[in-house]
Amino acid sequence: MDERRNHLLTIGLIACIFLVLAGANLFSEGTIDAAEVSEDTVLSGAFGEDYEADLKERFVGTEKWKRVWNNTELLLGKRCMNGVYIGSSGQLFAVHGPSDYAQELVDAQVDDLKQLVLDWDADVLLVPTADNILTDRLPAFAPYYDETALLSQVQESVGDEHYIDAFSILSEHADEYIYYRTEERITSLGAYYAFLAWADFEGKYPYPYRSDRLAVVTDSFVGGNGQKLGSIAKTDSISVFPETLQRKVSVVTDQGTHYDSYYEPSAVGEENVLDYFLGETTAFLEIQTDYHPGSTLFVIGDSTAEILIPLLGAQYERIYLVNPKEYRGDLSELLRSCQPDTGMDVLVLYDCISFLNTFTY
Amino acid sequence: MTFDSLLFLFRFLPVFLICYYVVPQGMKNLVLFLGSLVFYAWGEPYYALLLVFLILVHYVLGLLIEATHRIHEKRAFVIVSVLLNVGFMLGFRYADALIEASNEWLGSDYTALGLEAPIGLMIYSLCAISYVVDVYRGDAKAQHNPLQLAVYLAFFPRLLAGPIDCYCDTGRYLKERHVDLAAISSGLRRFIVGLAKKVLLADELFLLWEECLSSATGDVLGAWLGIFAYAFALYFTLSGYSDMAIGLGNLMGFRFRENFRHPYVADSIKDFWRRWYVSMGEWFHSYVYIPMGGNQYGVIKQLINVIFVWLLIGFWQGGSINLLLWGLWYALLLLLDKFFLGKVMELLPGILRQILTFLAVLIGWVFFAFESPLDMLSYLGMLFGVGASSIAGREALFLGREYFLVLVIAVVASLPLANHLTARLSVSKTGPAMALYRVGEKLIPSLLLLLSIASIVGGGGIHG
Repeated sequence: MDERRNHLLTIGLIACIFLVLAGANLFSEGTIDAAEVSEDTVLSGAFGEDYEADLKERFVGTEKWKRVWNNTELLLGKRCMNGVYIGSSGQLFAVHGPSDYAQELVDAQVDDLKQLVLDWDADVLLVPTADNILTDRLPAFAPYYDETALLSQVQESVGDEHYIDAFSILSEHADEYIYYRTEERITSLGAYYAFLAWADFEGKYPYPYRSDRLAVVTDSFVGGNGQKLGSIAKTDSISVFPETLQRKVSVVTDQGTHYDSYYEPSAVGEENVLDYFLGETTAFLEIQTDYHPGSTLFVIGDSTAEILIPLLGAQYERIYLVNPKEYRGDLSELLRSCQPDTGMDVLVLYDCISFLNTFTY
Repeated sequence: MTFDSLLFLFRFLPVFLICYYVVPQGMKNLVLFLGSLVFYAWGEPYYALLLVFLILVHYVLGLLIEATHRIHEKRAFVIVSVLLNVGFMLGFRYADALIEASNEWLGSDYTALGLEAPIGLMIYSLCAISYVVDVYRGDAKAQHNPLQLAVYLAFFPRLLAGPIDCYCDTGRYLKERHVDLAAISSGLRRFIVGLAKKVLLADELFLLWEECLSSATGDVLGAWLGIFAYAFALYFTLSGYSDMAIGLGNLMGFRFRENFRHPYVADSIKDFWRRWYVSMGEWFHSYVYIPMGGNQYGVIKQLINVIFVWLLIGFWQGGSINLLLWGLWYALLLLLDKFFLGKVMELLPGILRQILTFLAVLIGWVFFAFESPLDMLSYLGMLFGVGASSIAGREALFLGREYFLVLVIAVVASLPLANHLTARLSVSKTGPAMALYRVGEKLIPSLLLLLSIASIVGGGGIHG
């Protein structure tokens, strides 16, 4: 091959890549609003930054480029991408920074919790995050927040008579499918073990759910952690206990939405599939069952509570769920207004990180 | 706009190059100047006016220097240029600090201007000074064509990180340039290598550095890992931009000298500065150190000259206290090397000399990285176990494992191995070695380009 032809081939190959991509991107649809383009934004340089971000967003084949890059990083041995650890068996873990569990934050949250327990004789069930239970699936040396210190502090602060230990039972079943692979939440099976811990603590005879007979709702769930990694994440299944599907319940949210099941099938296939459990997250909801007339449970919790409540439903006639992250009113006032004359059980039900970051009293 | 932005790669560059190649020879400088202005004005439109102002002033100064025969007048014009350029650098860097000091100490009530030094000011100021000094010295003739001077000063490929080419070197390309297929081919490949250095290595290593700082590992291993990453991140950023500038220059018929020559294999500090940002070192040597007398007037004068030049380099890099200390660190090392250390080092085996030099450079980067002297001292202490929480914490071990391959690639890429291999393969005229070379020179740049695009579009790095 003569020199000239050799140079032409090199130039042709590289120029093709540039020109094809430049040409293809000329016709991609922009998202910058014309109203955002003003003399000020152009002269200050802000428009330039927005324009680059817009180009990146609508670059031809963005998802494919992301997949190429994520796979390249995997090949390079990276096991932490976009704030997610890629563990063994496709298990993904959200990375929590030191600010998520600073000791001042822990102290403040535990003080608030103690006050709530004193005021309402509440019980506390904190579900550890997956990294604390599935530790052997974390990438080698991956730093994580050891929640045992937090749980000990909580136990010491609220007293043994109010502290429900979910850590132990979940650790015993760590080799089962108790956490979603792609989402920082327990599965229905994980919730079942937490439910057993609760029933044991309360001295209640637990409803005899069959953990070997879970009904699969979907096999193509990709949770928040998985979405951060795009196509390299495996999919999860969402399953529920068939008994919780069969019994008739009435769920009313503070938005006035009414469901006659713990589950909202229309959420499957939507962006937030976990809305399947008790519908879209709301500040407050009330559940009416046909079990145990006269018994009431008031749950203060997060989305972990939404997964566990269908199992608790068989133990109470009425369950209230308030999510302090969304609720703007006075929580004490709400508790008083919901309390029947016969009294009610109060349960604080969170995963540890959400407790630190969203619990308020 | 930066070379690793999508805007540059897929909007500006293709349009600019097509325009540049299709216009007749006589119009190429106009296209190049207008392209440079657009590149420069994008994001900082007002500062483009400053560039135009400096071009006009230096055009006039060059003509005035040439026109007068009185040496003191020539000198005065050079001083005007120096004061103007240094004045702008000082103004942008210290105006707000002065206003703050005035408000605090004199009770005034001025509002901070919020000025940030324009991109490229550090580069084109030095080029502008080199122009008037070259004309003053008689090393170059004054430029009578303002467009050609504008092309020299505003030349966009080198606005980000040089090379700082002297007027006497580049002047010959300003009137007319010719591009052949070999230059375009090598220019494209060089540009892509630079892009890959910046996007695939430097950005990853900066992330490691930031993670080492933010995870507050507080251990010895984390401190070494962090500064190691920082050292290579800086190298691949600057040498990447320089490669891109040299490659773009080739595409337009310019030939620039190498700016980085594998600096981390240097076996002495002097050797390091012959390899690191060569054009900057040469500029300060030619336009500051030598005019001050260099080593011609005794040891004391030389000592003063060396310290002054390195303080000036520290000022040029940003002017904060840590950068001045960084400059002093090198002044100290170079003086020690000259009067004492050099002789001792010569007794050591080559590899040990290289390791010791690299360690000295790493310590220099600690000065460079931390604006706060307290943070700098604390980090320096941590490197040697003072104030460290442990030798190797979990975070540091994780980061080391996480970036292990990137670090290995970075080290290998910083060595002259690829150059040696390419040189060996390319001399073969026939046979498998030549075939391998031919395929490699096409496939490797294409692959690097695609990976760089994937990183820019799909990664969460620091691009654009």
